[in-house]
Amino acid sequence: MNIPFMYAALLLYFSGTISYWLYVYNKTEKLAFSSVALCCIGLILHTLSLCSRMIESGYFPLSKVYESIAFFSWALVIISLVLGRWYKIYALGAFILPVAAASLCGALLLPKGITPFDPLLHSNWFLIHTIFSVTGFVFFGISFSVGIMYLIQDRLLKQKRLTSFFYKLPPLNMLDDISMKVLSIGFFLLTIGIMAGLFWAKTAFGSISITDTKMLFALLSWVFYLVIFHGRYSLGWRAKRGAFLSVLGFVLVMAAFAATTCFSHNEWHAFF
Amino acid sequence: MNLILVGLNHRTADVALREKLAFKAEELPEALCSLLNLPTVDESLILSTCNRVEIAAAVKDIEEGFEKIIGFLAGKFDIDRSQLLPHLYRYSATDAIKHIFRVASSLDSLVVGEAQILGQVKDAFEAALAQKSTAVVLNSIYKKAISVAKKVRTETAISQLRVSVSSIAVELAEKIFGTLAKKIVFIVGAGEMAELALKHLVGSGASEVLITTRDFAKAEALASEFRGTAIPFDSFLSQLHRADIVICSTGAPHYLIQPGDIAALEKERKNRPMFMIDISVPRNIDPGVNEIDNVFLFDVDDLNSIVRENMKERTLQARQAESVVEAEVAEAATWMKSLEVVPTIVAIREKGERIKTAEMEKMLAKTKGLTPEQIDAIEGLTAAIVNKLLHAPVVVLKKQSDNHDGSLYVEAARKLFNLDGDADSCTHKKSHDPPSGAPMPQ
Repeated sequence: MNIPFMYAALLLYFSGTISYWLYVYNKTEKLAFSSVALCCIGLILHTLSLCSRMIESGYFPLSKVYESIAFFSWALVIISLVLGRWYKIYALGAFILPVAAASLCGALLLPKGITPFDPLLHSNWFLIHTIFSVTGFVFFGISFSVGIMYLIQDRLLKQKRLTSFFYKLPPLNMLDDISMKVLSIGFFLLTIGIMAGLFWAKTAFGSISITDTKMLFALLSWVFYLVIFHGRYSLGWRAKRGAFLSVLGFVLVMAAFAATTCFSHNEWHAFF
Repeated sequence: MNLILVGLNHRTADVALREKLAFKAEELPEALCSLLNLPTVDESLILSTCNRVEIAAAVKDIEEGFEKIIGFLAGKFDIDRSQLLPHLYRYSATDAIKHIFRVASSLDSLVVGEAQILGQVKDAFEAALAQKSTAVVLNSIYKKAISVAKKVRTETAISQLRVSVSSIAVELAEKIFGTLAKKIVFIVGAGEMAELALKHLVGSGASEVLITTRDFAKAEALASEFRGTAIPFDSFLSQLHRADIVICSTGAPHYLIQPGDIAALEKERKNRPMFMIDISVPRNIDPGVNEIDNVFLFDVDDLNSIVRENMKERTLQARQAESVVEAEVAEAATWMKSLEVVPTIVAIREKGERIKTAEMEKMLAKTKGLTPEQIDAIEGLTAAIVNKLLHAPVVVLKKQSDNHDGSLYVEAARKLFNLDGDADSCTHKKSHDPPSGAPMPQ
């Protein structure tokens, strides 16, 4: 039952993406309304899917790759709606919803069966680890979209190409501000997530092994974002450089996630 | 009741003539009254701006109305009619409605889409209201014109894109900085354009102003005007790092600001973006500065081409606005036609009523001994006869009011029933009494 809901949600996200793109092209207020509406309805279906899966399986839906990406996509949509409302700019949706739709699409290509209950996999620490890590990445995903918007607008301004698309993008400083806030939140969440993960490994196995590729890449991405974070606050790595690093960081991290999911030899991180 | 409009604008008369015919605000009340005192004029309104002078009026006879109003203008401003006539345009009925709507929607303005004209039309309307020189016709038409103008603004993008260099500068600054509050503007050299751009920026929230010119006294004068700080010219580069927005407009024939100067600043500014406008010719800021990250440089050519692009877009939007106006004019014209028919129908019925009453009285005076029932029956009979007789003409009049030659029927009806110029009926009052017609849909 949860799978059809998810497909329906995906369909609505795709429609919402097209609606957002039309809105950015046209800027009629009706399109803004329909984009948000499609997004919300999709979100409701998405939530229903996750909830019904939770009821069916008996545990929080974060133990398969499919589930974690579906959760990632869900959190991304919620936070983008909140941000759009908070800053009153709906153009954000045009850049974030495609990421949510694409990731959900990717997730639906993966095996979706419900794994049987495993005490190690379905413990509280593991849950905290996954929720915080995935949500942390959601915020990095947003900084990615915001970074792209910044770079596009910077380029258009430099080249003096003031198209109607240019006029719909939010101001540079606002994008920079959002990026800063979102990176901070993401970094904070990821830190807790990794710590919870280390704690869980200790309680589950009695020791922490850093030879697992995913664990390695998680720590490396944490260090990468630590550098970005520090650079922003102390070294003035804002504006164009900040935007570029946000984009680069997220791409690297997602690539790492994909790679380690395929090649990890530790069964806890290779849960297909 | 006919609507007419007489006037001149920037296209038909040069500024010297327009200046001569301009009405000062204090002159309006007397002028409006003088217009009302003219024989055929029942309502009047005067719109006088630096680009146009127009008189709108509701008159009984169109040709006479034009004659009298033009005569009034010639007399008041001491100009020969023959000299005035070639510069004046005349509109009546639907054309007048269209012109009034177009003017209010800024479609007739020098810069299409300008925002000032609507305020000027509102002021003219208010002045006329204060003088009670308007009644049903002008009140409804001008109220409608104002709402059509607002509709055009919201339904088309005609006023959205900026077409002046200073407002574009502000718009670009807001695109970069979001809000201009707490942003520092540095103005190098003090030309007229630079000052205008500065005024716009400060008006939009920029808080601190730094000014430098070769002539320090001038810098100080400007600084006191904008509550800013004057900086000595030979050391201005050292202070440049404080600026978020730089406006450069000196007469210097060489580059005052080089890429190297800006690159040195970026560290101190910690990569905070910088917006630079170079409106000097020849340029004072090396174009290479635009290559530096987070610095956005626009020179006079860039700004002018943005103006041209926006003007092009405005012209497109203007076409859309014209069709919005067309639809509204059609609706208003239909309303005006119904205005004609209704008082005529009322007058016909009233006349029928008067004749019936008069004949009843005559009969009652001559014939005695009728019972109350008989009197009632005769009353009912006469009423029925009058109503049936008048039924067909009234229905035809109503039907014809929508047609092009509907007013011919109205005129014919008025003549056939002898509604005007009756020796024994009260005629020709200044119709400030509203005709009892339906109000114009707003």
